[in-house]
Amino acid sequence: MMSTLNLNKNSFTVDTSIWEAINDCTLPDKKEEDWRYMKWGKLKKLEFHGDFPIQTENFSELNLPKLTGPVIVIENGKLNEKLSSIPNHKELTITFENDDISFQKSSYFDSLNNLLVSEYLNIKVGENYVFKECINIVNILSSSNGFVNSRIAFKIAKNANISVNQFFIKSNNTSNGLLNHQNLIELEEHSGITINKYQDTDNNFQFCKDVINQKDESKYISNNFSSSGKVIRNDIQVKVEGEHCHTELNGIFSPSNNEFIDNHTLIDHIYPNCKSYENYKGLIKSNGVGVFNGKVIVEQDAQQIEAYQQNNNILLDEDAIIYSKPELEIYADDVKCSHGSTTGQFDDEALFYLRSRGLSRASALQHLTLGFVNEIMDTIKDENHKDFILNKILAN
Amino acid sequence: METILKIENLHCQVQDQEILKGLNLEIKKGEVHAIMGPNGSGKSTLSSVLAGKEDYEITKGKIIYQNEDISELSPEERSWNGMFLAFQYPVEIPGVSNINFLRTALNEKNKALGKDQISAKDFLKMVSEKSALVGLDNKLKNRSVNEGFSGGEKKRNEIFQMAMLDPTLSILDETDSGLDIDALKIVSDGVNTLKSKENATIVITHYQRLLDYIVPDFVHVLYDGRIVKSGDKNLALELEERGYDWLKLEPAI
Ligand SMILES: Nc1ncnc2c1ncn2[C@@H]1O[C@H](COP(=O)(O)OP(=O)(O)O)[C@@H](O)[C@H]1O
Ligand SMILES: [Mg+2]
Repeated sequence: MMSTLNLNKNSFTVDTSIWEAINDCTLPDKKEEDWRYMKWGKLKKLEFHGDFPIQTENFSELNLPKLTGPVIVIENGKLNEKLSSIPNHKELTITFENDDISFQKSSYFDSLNNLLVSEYLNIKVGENYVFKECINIVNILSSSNGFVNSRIAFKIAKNANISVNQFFIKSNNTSNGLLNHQNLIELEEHSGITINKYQDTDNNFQFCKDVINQKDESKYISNNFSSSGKVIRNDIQVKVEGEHCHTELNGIFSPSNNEFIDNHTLIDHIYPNCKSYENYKGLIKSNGVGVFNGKVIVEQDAQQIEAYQQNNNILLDEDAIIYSKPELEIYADDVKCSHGSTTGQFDDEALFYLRSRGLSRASALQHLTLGFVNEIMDTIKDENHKDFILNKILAN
Repeated sequence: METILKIENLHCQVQDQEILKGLNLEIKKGEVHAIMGPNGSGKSTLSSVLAGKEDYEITKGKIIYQNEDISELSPEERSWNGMFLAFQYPVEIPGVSNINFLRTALNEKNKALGKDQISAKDFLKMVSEKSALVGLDNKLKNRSVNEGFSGGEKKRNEIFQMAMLDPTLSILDETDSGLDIDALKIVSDGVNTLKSKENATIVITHYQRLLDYIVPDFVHVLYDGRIVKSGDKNLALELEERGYDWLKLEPAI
């Protein structure tokens, strides 16, 4: 039987033709390798609604760090003007654009994002412009059982550079909401973007897809921290379409209490002389389930590539589960590549060592936890954001 | 003199295998005891069981530390009460800063003892004083615990931490292994400086060499889970000369 999400028709204000196109899309099958572990059951038993008010009045309702720099708050897919402070620079334009991309049927969540996003956020950075502050983008889910689609396009021109802190959170009591978000990122020659992603949607669902195109000498750094969510599925797909590019994907994911966090990444090296680094760490608690599936492709003409991929996991409880699958596909002959995956518990000797010096068991475990993620935390340059995440990791 | 530690007929099992088989030892304030013995005789097992390692099951006998049976105390409680074990193989802990964890350790100890937290300034002052004592390289203090340290650096780090925690009973498990003669002198000087009328030290080694620098009041031979012979520092010299084999011929005392 073909399966779809159960969407409440009357609550979606869309044309009949769109509705028909939506009904034509089917959820990926469990037999598809990329979706093997997905917990569809949790989603299928719910009914989702469309169109919601903007309700959040102030930041104190939200669990966020202190934000400095521009703030763009997108609540249920729409701009929350009251909470946003959008800069007005000639070289940095942040606007909502009508989505006139013609529909092409593709995978389920891509298709629905395409059909249901009427306005997307367009962030354009002009040539040679380096924005020193961090742009904060806060995506809030504030409607229980809401199905929210949103999209952001980043166009970074030659020699330009920005940093973004992107938060995915829910407002107080929101549960069973479903966010389907996309970041489409175009990096022109010698440009760069750093995205620090933070996902803490708790009792809600999130499908998040980033598609990145890199031109010559561009630099893409993604620091992904997935703290909580009933189901989180992250797809990051990087096409390296230039020489001398730097691609860096770092991640920490910590599912607990029956949560499911699934990371699928793809780095496609098409051109020679590039470097990519991928490092994901899973901290799986109680009966949480984590997935890491990282694929690196080095195509035939992509000589002199250095590609490193690593996934280390700590299972904190007996019922914790990780599915780890690092994949390398190499078609060029002159490359330096490595990949690896480890799964285990915290070292008992290390725990005893720290306790014998007077650390309580709880505190020793905290130190080991911080030690485990330290390598990745070091890649986050924004100290505010870093502290926020560290505290979150320790509080979990 | 007041007794700090009294071990009575201690039997200890690790993974269903009996390693300590009726060990007796009494240590008083101000004393240095050396424990020697061939590999596998149970020296590290003794130090682990004293420090409270889980999985080391006491099946018989008692450990009385400062007039209290400590067999139910956690490793951290023993540490707060003034016990310190310098590990034979100090553990490398990637990502955990040597200095940060020590600061937490000191503060948790102070809290447990109802004392004030140490200020950042006092802490740093103490760190530079105590690391000078064992010649611990400045940059090592800020690195991850023991990660990428040479054998000798690890041992210096152990004694540095000992100095920071100012223990009442220190157990040094083969602190001399991995040290060249210069480092051995520095570390021994450090240990000697920390010695007082109020504390005591157990020095575990299987070379007599260390005992030229840290001079013991008593020397014990641990063999097959028991102390089979005790004497003064001359016993160490005799062991150096004759090895351990002759002891097997003598009945246990
Ligand atoms: N964790 C352990 N599990 C199983 N056997 C152990 C363990 N630790 C020590 N042993 C055994 O206990 C005996 C004593 O070891 P140990 O205390 O390390 O001796 P020493 O320090 O005197 O060389 C050895 O036979 C060793 O194999
Ligand atoms: Mg030993």
